[in-house]
This record gives sequence, structure tokens and C-alpha cells, in this order.
Amino acid sequence: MIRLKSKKTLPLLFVLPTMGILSFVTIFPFIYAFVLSFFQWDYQIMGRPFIGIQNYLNVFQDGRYFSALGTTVIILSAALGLEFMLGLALALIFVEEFKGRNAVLVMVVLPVMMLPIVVGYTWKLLWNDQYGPINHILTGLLGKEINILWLAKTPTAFISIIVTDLWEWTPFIFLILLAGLTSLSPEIYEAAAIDGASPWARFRSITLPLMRPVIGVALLFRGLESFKIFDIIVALTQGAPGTSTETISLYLYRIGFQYFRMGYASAANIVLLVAVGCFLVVAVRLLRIERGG
Amino acid sequence: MGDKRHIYTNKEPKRIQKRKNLKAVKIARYVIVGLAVAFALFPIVWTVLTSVKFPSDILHSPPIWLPKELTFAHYIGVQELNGYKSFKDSLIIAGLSTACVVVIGSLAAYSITRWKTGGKSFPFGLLTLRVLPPIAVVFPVFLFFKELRIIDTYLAIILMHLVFNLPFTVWMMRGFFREIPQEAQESARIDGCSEVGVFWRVVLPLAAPGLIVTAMFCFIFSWQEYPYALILARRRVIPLSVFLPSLFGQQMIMWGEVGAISTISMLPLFALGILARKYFVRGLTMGTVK
Repeated sequence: MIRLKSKKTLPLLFVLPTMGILSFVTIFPFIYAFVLSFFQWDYQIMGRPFIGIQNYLNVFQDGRYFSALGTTVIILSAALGLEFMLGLALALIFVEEFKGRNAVLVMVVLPVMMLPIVVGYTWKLLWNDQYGPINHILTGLLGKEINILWLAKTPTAFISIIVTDLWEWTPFIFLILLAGLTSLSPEIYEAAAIDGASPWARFRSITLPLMRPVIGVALLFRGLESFKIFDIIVALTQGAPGTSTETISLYLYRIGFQYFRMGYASAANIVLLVAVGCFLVVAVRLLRIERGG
Repeated sequence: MGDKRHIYTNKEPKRIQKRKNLKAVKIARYVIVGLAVAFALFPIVWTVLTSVKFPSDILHSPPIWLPKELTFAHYIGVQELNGYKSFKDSLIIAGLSTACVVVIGSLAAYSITRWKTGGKSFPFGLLTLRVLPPIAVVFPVFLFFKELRIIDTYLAIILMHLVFNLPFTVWMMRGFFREIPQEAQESARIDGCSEVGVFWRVVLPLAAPGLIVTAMFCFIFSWQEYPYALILARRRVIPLSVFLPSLFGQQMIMWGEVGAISTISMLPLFALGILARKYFVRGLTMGTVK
């Protein structure tokens, strides 16, 4: 009898700490925030009156909320697109053996290891219009005086953010694609070469279809991470000029921790969590990440 | 087939052409690789150089690439700003949260692999937790922790770092446990080993390399983390990621100190990354790509 009982309890006992901790730090606070989202709890006013779904209505009428979402999506798609193209190109080069390949791989990958906030400040110095080297390098390359205030104007601020993100995360996509390419069997390519398929044809009708799951994983992981973009923005622009480079994470941070609108922030957070949750369900279905492994 | 061979043997110049092309491809490859390395290393080198330049050299326009004189004053300046205390805080937070997560996470991973606890939805539920925007998660947590009076403690930040590292560990270890041959476990069971004994004496030692790699990644993620720490750290506990932005509050930006603290903060990660490089892709994709 005791044996039988332990057979059922042991599996649960093993997952209990994980479940316990995760519900303690996510589910309970989430419920708390859900309740809060029906109250007005602001810095300026006394008490916490119940206001029903007013906070949610306000979220859907909040232009800054949606413009922050838009900014996030712009940065995400531009960075992800460029990172994918660069990463793929590099992976196609690195898939073949050459002298010093391993040493170079280690060096190229270092940006991923850095703290994102350090990446942000490192590049803040590089973009600096007076003592940063980027204007200096451009001046040398183009042969005329370049003096761009990178972080002060909206278009160049976007470029700065995207290039910084690209610097940090291209190695991530590159490494995943390289692993995928390395695992493709060389026989298929030999067969295709014998059949006289051009490199482009081989790439299009062999490499891309076979790589689809790996590309899917790379884009999904990077896309979801990129949606959270916060550290680089805090370091580089803090949403400036104006609120033009303010991402959704930065705006949520400001509602909650600078404007102290607790009730409203709760509602805004829940709307975002639900949206991300829905997106994730759809994305995983579309990509069909192999379930059992 | 015979036809083709015939054509090629008759066209000797084409071969020479091909060899020339190959050489051009080779050169092009080295140029691109060189550019990629330069692009990847330049910002890192610039930061390290900034940390040993004199302030007048840092703020020089046009920028000075190689300073004539070096100084280590910024590394002493970091000490005065309590930067090394932040290094210690980061070490404690990343170390303890990694220790917790490896123990708790591998138990759960084993349960999921061995008994399929929670079915297929459990690991996927965990994955969802990992991808939620930290700012959205931490907001209710902040209110909750405030009631519990644990804001500005190691405990608060360590707990929140489990939110992303637990799912990671479970996914990674699930992969490593699966690779352990069933026979080893079966024979231990036949020898009368209890389930806990099988896990402790057979499975864990066999999965030790995987466990170490997973721990390295958890340490890196925890060390890098910013948003949770920003909101839960105040005055007593300040990890490096929160310490660094505090150097920008003053009127004059202390670039030298920023460079020094940046250099100090990335060195342990580079060391870990190089040690774990064989498992890099596996770590970055939580085991979904090997």
C-alpha cells in the first residue's frame, strides 16, 4: 500500500517546489493585479475607489500605449529582419571549415554574453556626436565632415537603437542557424551538385525548406525577447526625443513607477500579458515546435 | 553521366576559371569574416580602452584611438562609488539563484521526463512564463512584495530570477535526462534501488555535464538581468546592472568609471561563455536546437 501511494506522490513531490515558487511569484501577484485593475489607485488622489472596467477603457483610448506598441513592433521587425539576413549570410560562410574558424567563432559571439544594459551604455558612448568614434569613422570613410546627433533626432535614434540591437543579437541568430546548417547532411548537396543545381537553386530548394524549423525557433525566440526591449532603450534614449522611441516596456515602467498610477498600470499590464499570451499560442501552433522533442 | 564527363574533360579552361573563382571566394570569405570580427570586437575594445584612458582623452574630439598614457584611476574610482559591493551583490544573487534553480529545476525536469507529470502542457506553460515581458510581470510582484516587506533584499531578486531560470532549467535538463540510456536506470531499479536513489545515484551523475552547463547559463542570465533588479533593488542591494545606470544621474557622465564597471561586469560572463561554448546553441534555444 505504501509503495503504491509513494508511486503517485513522488512525481508530484518533485515538481512541487517549481510549481510553488512560480505560483508564488507569478500567479498570486497576477490575481492581485487583476483585482487592482478595477480600482483607481493614483498618487494624487485619496483612497482607492472602485471604478469597474474604466481602467481598461482608458487603456484602449491611450494613444501613447499604442504608439509605444507601434515603436516596439517597428524596432522588433527591423532588427529581426536585419539580424536574420546577416546571421544567415554569416552562417553560410561559417558552415565551411577555414583556418582559425573556432577562434573567430568565439570572438563573434562575445556580444551575446554582455549585459544588455552595458551594451546600451557602450553604444551610447560610440554614438556620441563629439567624442564618439562613429561620426569619426564615417568622416574618414566618406571623406567629408560627418556630424550627426544620432540620439537627438527620431530617425537617427531609431537607426542607433536598431544597429545596437543588431550588434548584440545577430550572433544569437547566427549561431542557431549555423547549428542548423551544420546538421544538414552533405549527401543531399552532393546529389544536387551532380544534378547540376546552381548554388542559388540549392539554397532555395534544399537549404531553406530543411532549415525551416530551425529558422522558426531562431525567429520566435529572438522575436519574443525583442518584444521586451527595455535595457537598450533605457541606456540609449530613454524614449527620447519626446516619446518617439518609447517602447511598451518603458511606458509600462513609467506608468507604474514614475507616475504611480497603480490601478491603471495593472490594467495596462494585463492587456499586454493577454496579448502576448494569445500571440504565443498562435505562433507556437504556426511553427509547430516539435512537442515531445 | 558519360555525356557530362565528356563535356568537362574537353573544356579545360573552365576548370582553371573555376579554380580562380574559388580563390576569389576564399578571399571574399576572409574579408567578410574580418569585418564581422572587427564589428563584434570594436565596441568591447573601445569600452575597455575607455576604462584606462584619462578623462581628457575620453572627452577629446575627435576621439583618441590609442591613448599615449594609461591610468587605472577609474578602477579605484569604482571602489569609491561602491562598485565592488555591487559586484558582490551580483555574485550573491546570480550564485544563489543558480544554486536554487539547479536543484529545484532538475527535480521537476526529472519528474516530467520520467513520469510525464502534468502532460505536455506543463513544459509549455513554463515556456510561456519565460517569454512574458518582465516589466508586466514585476509590477504586481512589486506590490505583493511590498506587502511582504521584502523589497530591496537578495531574496526578492533571487525569487524573480527564478521566473526565467526555472523554465530554462526544466527545458534544458529534460533534454539531458532524455539522453541518459534507460538501461542504466532499469538495472539500478532491478538491484532494488528506490526511485529517489535512481535519480540521485544514477541519473544525476550521468547528467552532471548537462547540469553544469545549465548552471552556467542560469548564472549568465541572472547576472545580465536588469528590469526585475531595477524595480526590486533600492539602497541595500544593488546588482551591477542597476549600479551602472546610477552613474548617469550626475551632471558629468563618468565615462571612465562606466568603462571600468562595464569591463569588470563582462569578464566573468566571457569566461563562462567560452567554457560553455560547445553547448551555446543548446543553451540559447533552451534545448530545442542541438
